[in-house]
Amino acid sequence: MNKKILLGLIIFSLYTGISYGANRIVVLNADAIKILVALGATDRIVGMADKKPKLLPSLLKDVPEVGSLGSPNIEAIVKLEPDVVIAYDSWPSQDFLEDKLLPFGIKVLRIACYKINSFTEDIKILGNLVGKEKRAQEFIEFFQKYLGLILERTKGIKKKLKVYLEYQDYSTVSGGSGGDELLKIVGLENIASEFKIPFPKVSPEWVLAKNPDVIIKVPRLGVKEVNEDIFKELINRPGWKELKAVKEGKVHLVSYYEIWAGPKAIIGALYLAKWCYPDAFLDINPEAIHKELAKKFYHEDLKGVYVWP
Amino acid sequence: MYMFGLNVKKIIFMVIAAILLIFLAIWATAQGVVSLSLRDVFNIILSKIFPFVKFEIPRLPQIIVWNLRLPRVLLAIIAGAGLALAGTVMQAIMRNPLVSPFTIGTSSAAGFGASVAIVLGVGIAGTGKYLIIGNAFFFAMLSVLLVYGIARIRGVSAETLILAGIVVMYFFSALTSLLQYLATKEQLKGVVHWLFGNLALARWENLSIIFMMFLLSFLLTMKYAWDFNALAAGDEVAISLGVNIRQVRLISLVLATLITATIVCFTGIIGFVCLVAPHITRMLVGNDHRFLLPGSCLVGAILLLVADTIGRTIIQPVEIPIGIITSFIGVPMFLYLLLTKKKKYWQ
Repeated sequence: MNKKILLGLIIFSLYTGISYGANRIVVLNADAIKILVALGATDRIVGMADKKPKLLPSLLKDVPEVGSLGSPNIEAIVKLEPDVVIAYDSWPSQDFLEDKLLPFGIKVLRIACYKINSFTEDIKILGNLVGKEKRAQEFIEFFQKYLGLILERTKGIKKKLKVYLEYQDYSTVSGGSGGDELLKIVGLENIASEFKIPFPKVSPEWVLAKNPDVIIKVPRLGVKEVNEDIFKELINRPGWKELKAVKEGKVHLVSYYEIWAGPKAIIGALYLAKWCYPDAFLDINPEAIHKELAKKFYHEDLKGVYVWP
Repeated sequence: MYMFGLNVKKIIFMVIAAILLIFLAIWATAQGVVSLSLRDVFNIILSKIFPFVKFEIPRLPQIIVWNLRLPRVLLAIIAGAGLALAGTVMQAIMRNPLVSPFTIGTSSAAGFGASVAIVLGVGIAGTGKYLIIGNAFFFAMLSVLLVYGIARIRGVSAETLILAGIVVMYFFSALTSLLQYLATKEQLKGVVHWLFGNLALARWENLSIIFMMFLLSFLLTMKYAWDFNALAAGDEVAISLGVNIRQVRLISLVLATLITATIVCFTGIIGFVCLVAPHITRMLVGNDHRFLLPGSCLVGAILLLVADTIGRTIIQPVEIPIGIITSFIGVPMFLYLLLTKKKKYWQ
């Protein structure tokens, strides 16, 4: 184990008093849930925030809800008698959570789980928390294998393709955000990376003027799957017929909830790499790797449509 | 019906409202995810106030009642009373039924202060988690200076104060929108959450600050009750009755803003109660401010307490923001009184 991580873990466990092998966990961090499920610790999750059944693994359907992430219901959490509550690194704020849970002696673990650059550490910490170190190591190896492959094969690319990445309509991401990080790993250039605002809303004209090589849309419509209608609407926007990306067929939809945010982001990255630099990834089949991941860590047989086309 | 020069009907109304409020407070404390009986609540409170009283109560309900529910219930009561007081005072000095700390910019300024702390992480006053509170309070007080300063240029009258207030409100709202535009997703959530208003952060130490401020504003504005009655007849009449209208307006405006700022900087923006509570009370006890001021406080407290309790329990464990529930309860109540009362109550 990396020395830094080990030290961090020791300090963390001394500081919070959380023992390894937590048995009852309330998870407010939706991305941490995906990791815990992959580690085979689903049965440890006794409560969660913001249940959206359409986005959940079926195993979690009966887990009670403890309010929303923004204002968790402390009474509902306390009633479940958890060993630890897992929240995002800076959300909800301390006065909503730690301050309120203190009189009950319930500990809080803060962790990101949504940044591709910190997945390794995050998975390790959660693996230790639930005593599934071996499974965590397998998950990390799977993730590292493909991350290394992408980095290796895109390293030598001289002319980086320019990408316009969109979430909500005409809402893009600037440097430092999770989406921008993902593009960088695949050796792509985000046309909006220079903006100072984290999630800038751009004008349609600006997109036309920039004329990107690739357009990626990550819709967040409350369902995992993407479909042709969204795609058609996208390429039929005024003036888009003339865009380089549209003409060359480099416009793609990616499922936010399935393969963009959280621990499965590596699949999203593989698709991006294959679409943008097909010659370097001839032997790679992202769909097959996605299926393998789903089967191995989530015991699911994938049937849905998570990218288009 | 009069006795010793006092209107007995109005006094009976106050007494009934006060008893209702106490009953509702105990009822509200019994509601929540962990179910408790009224008796449990009563016993827990008794044993906390009088340590020598011993009841057999498990530890968990004790902590829940004492650390979570009771501070929240009391905050709803004091915040409701304070906001209603501020609304009544502002409506009196501006002689306008539509005025409240919200229409004249106090809360949008507080919202801007909180947004600056959340989005930019900088503040005028306070550090850490008190940054938001300090900033919200500072900008709320700044707004009243701006309103009064602008109004003074043209002579302080009801109209100039209202117009200046509206300008200030739009100015701070625009600034807040700009900050929301610059915010990250997390910060935006924080800002929106704050602007919705929330009583979940109630703590004993904050409660005492708000309570002291409420007591101060209440006692000082009660001193002006007669002057408010005189103002209702018009500035000329009030002057001829010997009221120093400029002083009354300035001091009352500052007091109303002070209590509003103190409340909203801890709770976020809770609207409507300060507009609707004075009207409901006016329809029930009339326009005599000796009764209207304390009556509004009682009505505001009941309204906010009921709204918060419904908001946190109706689809528990998920909470509905208090601003939404306040409107759902206040609107029908207000409409009912408006449509059934024969007398023109606003005079």
